[in-house]
Amino acid sequence: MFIVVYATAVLLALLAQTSPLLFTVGPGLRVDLTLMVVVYLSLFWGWKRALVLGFLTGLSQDVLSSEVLGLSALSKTLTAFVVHTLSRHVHVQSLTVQVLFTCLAVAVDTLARLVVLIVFQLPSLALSIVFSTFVQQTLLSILLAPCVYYGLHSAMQYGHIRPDKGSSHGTL
Amino acid sequence: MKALTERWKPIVLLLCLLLLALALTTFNTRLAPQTSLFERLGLSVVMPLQQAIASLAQRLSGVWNGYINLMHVHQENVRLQRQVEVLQGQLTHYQEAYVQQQRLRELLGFRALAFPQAVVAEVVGIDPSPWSEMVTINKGSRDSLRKDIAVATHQGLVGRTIEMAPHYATVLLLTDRRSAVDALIQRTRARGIVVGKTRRLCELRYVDLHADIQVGDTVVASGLGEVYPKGLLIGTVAAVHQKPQGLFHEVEVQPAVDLAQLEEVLVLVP
Repeated sequence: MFIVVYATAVLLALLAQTSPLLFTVGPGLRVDLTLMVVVYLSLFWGWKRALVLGFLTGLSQDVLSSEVLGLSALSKTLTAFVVHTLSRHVHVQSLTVQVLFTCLAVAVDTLARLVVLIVFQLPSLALSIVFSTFVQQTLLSILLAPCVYYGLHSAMQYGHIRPDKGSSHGTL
Repeated sequence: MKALTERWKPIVLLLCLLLLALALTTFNTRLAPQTSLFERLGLSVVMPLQQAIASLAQRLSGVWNGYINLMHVHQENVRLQRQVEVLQGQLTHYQEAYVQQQRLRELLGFRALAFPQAVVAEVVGIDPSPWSEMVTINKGSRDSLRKDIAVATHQGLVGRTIEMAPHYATVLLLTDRRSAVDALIQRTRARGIVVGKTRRLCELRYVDLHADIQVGDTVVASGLGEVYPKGLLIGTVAAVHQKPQGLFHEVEVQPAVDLAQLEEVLVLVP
């Protein structure tokens, strides 16, 4: 059941992210919803699930993206590890904590991506684009993260799936 | 000892997954011109869903406008309101059809003029990564498309095809950082390379410092590289920055096509 909820969440996130009805290329708004799924898994579930599903989520994004295969897989695995490790002794049910970890995840994801681009000498991003994308992503993630986490939390509860970390009755 | 092993397990798994991701990246970087089976499969699975959702959303929006909005209107006004709504809906529909017909006529006129083999395609998806500028179109290798074909509208150049699935293709837009087009300033024939700079602008690089360039100059494809047809409009010069030191001008180019509003495009099959 857990896998069904996870796969549905990733599929919905990818459909939303590739939809010209919701987002546009160019100066339009863009947000990485799959990153929020990874953050949710890392906050509420054990390290094995967080890392493996973080990797798989990144890989499925890579498959649909024009970027190099493995780039998102790497950045999302690393993000899952950092978020999971730092949130071990934190009260993850708090909305503020969840939002803070989402911001941290955007930063780690961006940084990992930039490092890979530099190491592999791939066409790098202009600083202005890095900055504007990062700010836009962070702000949109802060706005959307509570809804995404609430949706995932409800789906898990509906499927009688108890998270590995924290209580299943969140404050959201 | 057991506790120590338990402690290192997450790090070992992390390293394994990172190595796997790096191996995929290396493999993919070396085989950059190929489209992997996974990518073809991914496009073929998600894009039909995307099209189905778009069509469902359009129908639902039609139902919403035509019926649900009227549910709570006073009974006396229902008939008239519905009539007005229906007529307005029809008018909007006709206007939309007219605008679409105009766009298609311009595209087809452009095709008939220079590219009789060109294929008209619809934009059905965008890149899931916020870091790249790419769109997916609903024509692929089954429609005799292949990689590295220029994509344009009647207004000018949009980009080039980079990945191919049987019924879908991905198009790298001019504004993406990985895009590079050999270009000319139409007025003075000064040469440079147009690369993606920001989400709205491109940059014309390697233009000789002594070349005559002014804001408003037209930038066209030079035809070198045999991907982009010679003379195809790229955009106009938006700004020229001259550095006190250096060999080249810094030129910003505004693309002729509004890439955020793409609906139909023309794949310029040679």
